[in-house]
Amino acid sequence: MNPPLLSVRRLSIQYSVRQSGLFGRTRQLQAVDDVSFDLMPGETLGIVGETGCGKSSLGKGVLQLVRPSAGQVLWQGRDLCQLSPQQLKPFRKDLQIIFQDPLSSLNPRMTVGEIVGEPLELHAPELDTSGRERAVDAMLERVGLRAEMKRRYPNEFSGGQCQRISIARAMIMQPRVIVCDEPVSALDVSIQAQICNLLRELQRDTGVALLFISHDLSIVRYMSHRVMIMYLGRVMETAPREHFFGAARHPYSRALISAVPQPDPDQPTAGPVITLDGDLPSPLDPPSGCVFRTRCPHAIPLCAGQPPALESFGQDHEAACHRARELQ
Amino acid sequence: MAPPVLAVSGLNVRFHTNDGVLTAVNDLSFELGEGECLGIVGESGSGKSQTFMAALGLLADNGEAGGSVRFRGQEILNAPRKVLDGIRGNRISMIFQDALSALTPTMRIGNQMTELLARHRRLGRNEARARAIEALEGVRIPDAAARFSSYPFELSGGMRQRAMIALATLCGPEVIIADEPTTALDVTVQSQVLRLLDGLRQRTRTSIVLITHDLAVVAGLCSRVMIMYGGRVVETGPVREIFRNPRHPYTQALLRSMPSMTTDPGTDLPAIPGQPPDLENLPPGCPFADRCEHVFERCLEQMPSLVPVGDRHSKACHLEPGP
Amino acid sequence: MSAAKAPPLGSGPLGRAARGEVSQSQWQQAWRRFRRNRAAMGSIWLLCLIALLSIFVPMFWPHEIEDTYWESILIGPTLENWHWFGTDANGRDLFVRTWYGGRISLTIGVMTTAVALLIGVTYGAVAGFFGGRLDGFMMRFVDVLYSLPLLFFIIILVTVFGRNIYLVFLAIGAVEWLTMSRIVRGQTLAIKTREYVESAVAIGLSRPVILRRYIIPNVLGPVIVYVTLLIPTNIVIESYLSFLGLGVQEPLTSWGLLISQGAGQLDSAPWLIAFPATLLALTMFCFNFIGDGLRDALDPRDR
Repeated sequence: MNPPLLSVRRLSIQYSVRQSGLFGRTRQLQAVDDVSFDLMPGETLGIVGETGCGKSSLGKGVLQLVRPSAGQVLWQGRDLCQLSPQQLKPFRKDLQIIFQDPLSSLNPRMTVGEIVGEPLELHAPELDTSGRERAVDAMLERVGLRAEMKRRYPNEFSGGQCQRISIARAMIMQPRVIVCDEPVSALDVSIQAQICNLLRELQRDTGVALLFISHDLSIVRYMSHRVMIMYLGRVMETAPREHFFGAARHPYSRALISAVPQPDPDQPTAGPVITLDGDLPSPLDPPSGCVFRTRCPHAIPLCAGQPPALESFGQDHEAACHRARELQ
Repeated sequence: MAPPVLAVSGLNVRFHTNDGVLTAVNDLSFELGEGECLGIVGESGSGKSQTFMAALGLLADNGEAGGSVRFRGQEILNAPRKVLDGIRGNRISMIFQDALSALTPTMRIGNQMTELLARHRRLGRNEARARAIEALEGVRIPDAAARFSSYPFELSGGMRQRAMIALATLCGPEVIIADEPTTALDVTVQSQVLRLLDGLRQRTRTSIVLITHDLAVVAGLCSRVMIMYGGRVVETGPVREIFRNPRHPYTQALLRSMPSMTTDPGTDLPAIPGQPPDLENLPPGCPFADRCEHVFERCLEQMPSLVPVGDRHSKACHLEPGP
Repeated sequence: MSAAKAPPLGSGPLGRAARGEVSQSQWQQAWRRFRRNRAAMGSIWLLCLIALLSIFVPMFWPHEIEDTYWESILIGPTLENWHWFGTDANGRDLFVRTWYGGRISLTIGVMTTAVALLIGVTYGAVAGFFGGRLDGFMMRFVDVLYSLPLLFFIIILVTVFGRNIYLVFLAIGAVEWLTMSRIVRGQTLAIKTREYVESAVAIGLSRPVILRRYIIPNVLGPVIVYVTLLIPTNIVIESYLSFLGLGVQEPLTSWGLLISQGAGQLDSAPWLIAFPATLLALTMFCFNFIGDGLRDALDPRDR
């Protein structure tokens, strides 16, 4: 088997949160807790979870946009967590990111050409102005925009076009990994498919690996080769797509799958909906033991006592649940 | 047939912006029956929200509305404030996407509810309080008496959305307009909220208008759907008909382009090419023409009108007998 | 779309690019909107006129500001002998003195604001962008300076360094940059969390470049609005410094000084105060209209 392109080992990310009130203490919010995974070349790993599950923090932690508090991000034999911002610079061209909000991820005071060409200025100083222009033109055409659009400003474009510009900026250095942080959730339905297709096409052509962060399982199913489910900063289940959608082991994964609405009036969901009671607990105050137990329909006393470890259920398939075997 | 609760005919909404006149809603007509759940589906800028903003006199200052909106036979479009104040929040109430900005941040949930009851129902303090707590329990907010004195920011997203539903249903409205009520919520909470709305409709015969960009949300809840594009209705019909037998090219393309749990991930999604229409510069013909795979000359010149194609099913498309 | 009375969607960008109209940056669009604001455009023209007169009248007028005419002391406005605005108690021509005063007042307004702008934007942007302990330290320093009364500060400066006009520039500018730096810091904190700044970090840009290319251009909008309000404020501050005898010294003059001299003879010679006061007020109005116009033009949703 090929060696992984990127390995994340026991990564944790903490934020300091000042509580309100006169004598509010500073508390630690554990956004990502002990997460490990490998990313293969040309692969898409879908990271799924609800608001506040730490999926965005994880993506930013991998790129060192947020500094992890513990763990390793191994890239070409180096641990990125140990590198200074200066030392990270040469690695930046291989690891890129696309954000959710298409308009706010583009600097409104720069033209599209400047936005897309900026990485070249930094990482390919050997290119002269005309060489850079040609590269920008080619990239814009590649993402489905016209080259003459480079003289315009982001506010003149629709959401879908802005997202194409972001993709062009991320792709121009031919990175090996792109973190896609909810890249289509802010777009109109009719545009989402365009952007999904574009990302898949670029992956086919360049072999770029994607970390596809999303809350939408039907899009993740379409985009990813493997799926990782997160809840309150922890990994609940990791599995290849077919296994996951066919035979998810974790009760939370099953609830998520069952809740996906289907565009079919006779069968509005893929099966009987597993209703989860209540809301997400506060990440400042996560439940003891298994973090999911407060909403789990199958919780037993053991779940409150001891956090379940990830257990293997066949190739590449792992789930963290004490009862995963007996519930099958 | 019983007379409709809400009848909209020939509604137009325009905004005067710095860059010219923007047409948000164009010649819109529909009726909402008693106890009916009507889904209005469209992308941003399709005019789906502005329709009801106009109907309830909530347009931004640079907006103007023309046509007619009758609520139980009474004209309410551009009605005096006094008339609208008696209707809004009382007989017609709204649920918004973002509960945090729709609830007053500096007032306790309970006070917002009792204030509404005091205004529309002239209830005393204790009675209003009891009614409010009852409503909070009705939307299955745990420990409702304690939540009564919470501020909106102290509640989680799903809880806030339920509190807003409680607020919206407090005066026993005849119509609830839910504008993207579940878009900001997580999937697991989304189904809770949708089920709550459905239970409410069955119990109280309240008519519900569900405005959304997500066809899948409509599928579970509504009996009839109206698909909007570029400020116009392009297709309307019973929900099953629309999903099983869509007749307008936009509806067909939209349904095809949505990934679902049955899409084959091995093939590319049949995406709709192009960009959403420019509302400041709508073409004289069909707004979908430049993205339509069946477009022909007449589409560019003349706006097709809504014609019946089946039982309560109509479409606005020149293509005959239909794709 | 979530809240009631939301502004309409799509008021602008959609498809303008597709329509093939001339491409415009946000600055150009703002300028286009600004030009449609009649009060603001009128104010600009009026302000230009006042500035031009202030520059050229003292150059070409038959009287100089120091010329004293013993035969015509305290005469009212007259066309005779070019004393259009009359003369003061020393027999000096008020027309030339008023425009000369305008020259000094406007220069002080612009120069002090430039000082405040330069220090305030750099200081605020650095504090906001780098954050953490540096931010805390820099902003506490601002707090300390804030607590010093302006007048006290200026009296110390004047007693130590003596009176001169450059000291006035420095003193006012040194006090007014505090507010500017707070505004800029607040804006920077807001912009720092925007995703385009994160994307700049992600491609590996260094922090000074991000500050220059991403932060400062995006904080300029509110800063420009504040500048148009700061210029008249500084003119007024100079006026009251002059009123107290701490500002511009005779025979130089400014609107503030002229007003303070005229105030003593309000009953006997009202023209002494009428002309400079009217011009000062007009200038204030103009700057305020321009500030309003700019605010609307730069952020059309915030009306």
